[in-house]
Amino acid sequence: MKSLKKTTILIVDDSTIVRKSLCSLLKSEGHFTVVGQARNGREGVRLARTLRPDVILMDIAMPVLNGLEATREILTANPQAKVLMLSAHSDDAYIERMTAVGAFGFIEKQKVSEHLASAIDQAAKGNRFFSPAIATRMAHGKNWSRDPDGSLKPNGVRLTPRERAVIRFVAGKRTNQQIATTLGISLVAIRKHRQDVMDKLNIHETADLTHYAATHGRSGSDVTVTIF
Amino acid sequence: MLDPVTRKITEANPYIVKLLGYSRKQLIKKELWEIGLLKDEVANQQAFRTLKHKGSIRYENLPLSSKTGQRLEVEFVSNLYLEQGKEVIQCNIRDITARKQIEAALRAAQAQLAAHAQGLEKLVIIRTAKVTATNKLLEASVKSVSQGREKYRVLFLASQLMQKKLQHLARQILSVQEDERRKISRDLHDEVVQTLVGINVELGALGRASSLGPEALKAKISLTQQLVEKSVTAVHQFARELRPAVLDDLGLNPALHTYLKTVAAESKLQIRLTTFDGIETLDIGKRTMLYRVVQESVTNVVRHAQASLVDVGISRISRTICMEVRDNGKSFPVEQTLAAKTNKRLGLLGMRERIEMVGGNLTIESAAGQGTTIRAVLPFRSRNAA
Repeated sequence: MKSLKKTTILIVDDSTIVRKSLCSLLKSEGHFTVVGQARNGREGVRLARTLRPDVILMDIAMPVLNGLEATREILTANPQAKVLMLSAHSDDAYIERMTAVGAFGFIEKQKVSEHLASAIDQAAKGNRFFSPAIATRMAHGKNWSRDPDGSLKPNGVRLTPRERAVIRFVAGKRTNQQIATTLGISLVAIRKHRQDVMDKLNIHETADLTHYAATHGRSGSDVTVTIF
Repeated sequence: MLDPVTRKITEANPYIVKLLGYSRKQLIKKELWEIGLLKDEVANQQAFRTLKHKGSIRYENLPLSSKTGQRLEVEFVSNLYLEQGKEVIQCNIRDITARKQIEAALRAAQAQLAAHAQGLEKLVIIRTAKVTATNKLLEASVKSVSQGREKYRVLFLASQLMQKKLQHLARQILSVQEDERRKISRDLHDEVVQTLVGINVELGALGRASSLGPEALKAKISLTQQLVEKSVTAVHQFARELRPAVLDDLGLNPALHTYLKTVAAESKLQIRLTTFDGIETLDIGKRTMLYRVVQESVTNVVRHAQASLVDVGISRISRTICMEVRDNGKSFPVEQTLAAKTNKRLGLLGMRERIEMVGGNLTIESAAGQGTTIRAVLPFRSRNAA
């Protein structure tokens, strides 16, 4: 084992107690070496650039620059960097954002003593690591889907441009026939789009669709609908 | 003294000698015109004719030059009478220069006084006009003051009423705040303190149980760690209830997702959220406000409405943001609720206050069979555009 190169680690966390205990935890493992400690995201970005550690442990809520933004900056400068996020927050929204900025893994702070060592080992080998509970949620939860780029998203639906057009026409109190004529597609196709919209929006009554269209019919393409 | 025939001076008293500056000798045998009196020949002869005819002549004011050329003003009285059967003329000349000067000074002073008086009179006229004008103004303002007083009395009464309402509201808020604090305090004690006590007990046991085998030790440590995890989760929950970190760390939409997902999981409500990415350009104060309004509205739905569906929508219509929370539950009397002394009312007022604080307004529609719609409309100015 002595011939093995030790895994170099940078710790980015604004809490001195957390940094200290992470250090002692990592020291006890024997094959890790903490090469740097940063107290906020900005410092973290700087040290990541100069120290080039194998793995970066990153808190989320920090002053000056939070861990999500810092991770984004670090990966922009060095796409090979492996950032493991550590946070007490494990809501889906956080997981979504972490994966969106390119975090390599995530461990809840409550579970650090249990999972940190294996998470670092996996990351050093090039394997993503998410706490088992989170990984299970991401794999099986009906709330999750994967974007083409591989990032996870909660199951919000976006209407297609055609469906948004239909909504706009409904807001304008047009009949299906008028919509079909204007868009130059068949009445059957319009009915299908309408039904798709109603399914996506969990709408069962025409009156509800009319109300929905009146409210959101003129919104732009950045609208998301989520059914909980 | 003059000789009426020769018109020459026959005698002169010391007074006239001193006045004219000629010696007595120089004066004797001279005619009057030679000493600068009645120089005009015609006037001179006329004067003598008048004297002979009337027996006396008097000039109030004759100009006279002294020997040194000094201009004098004199009073000249001349009488013709017989003395020892012979006609003589006695001329009395009195210097009135000083008197004249005084008179002139007096006239000047009088003129000055008159001018002054005139000035004063003008001033009085101007002042009077001013006073009249001021009086009118005063009258007008007295009138307006009395009108204003009436207006202020009404306002004052209104403000007193408002103050009472506010006082009542403040007390209600304080009491609700106190209730919340009591709940947090109790929960902190029940969930955190007890767990920490448990951890401490376990640690104490670990310290004493040196005889434990490695497996038993590991088991004890693992148990202790579970307790620690539990307390971390509890504290985390408190923090989330006080202020959702996700709102600060990730934004409004993730915060709403997280919140509504939890509500949907804990209640039987089906919730639909429609929002748009651009809302995150709104400043954090307004996004917090929108979050709190959704939270309050959805809490009300869960508690009171017996609804099965909640539709939360945030849309952008040109330069305004419209946020709606609509349910299909039972309605409630809006006006009565807003007037009642309940916590629900306080919640509604709190929402309204939050929205008005950021320049928006809040409407509540509730009708039997149609559920309730809470709608907040506020101006949309993104951080970047501002």
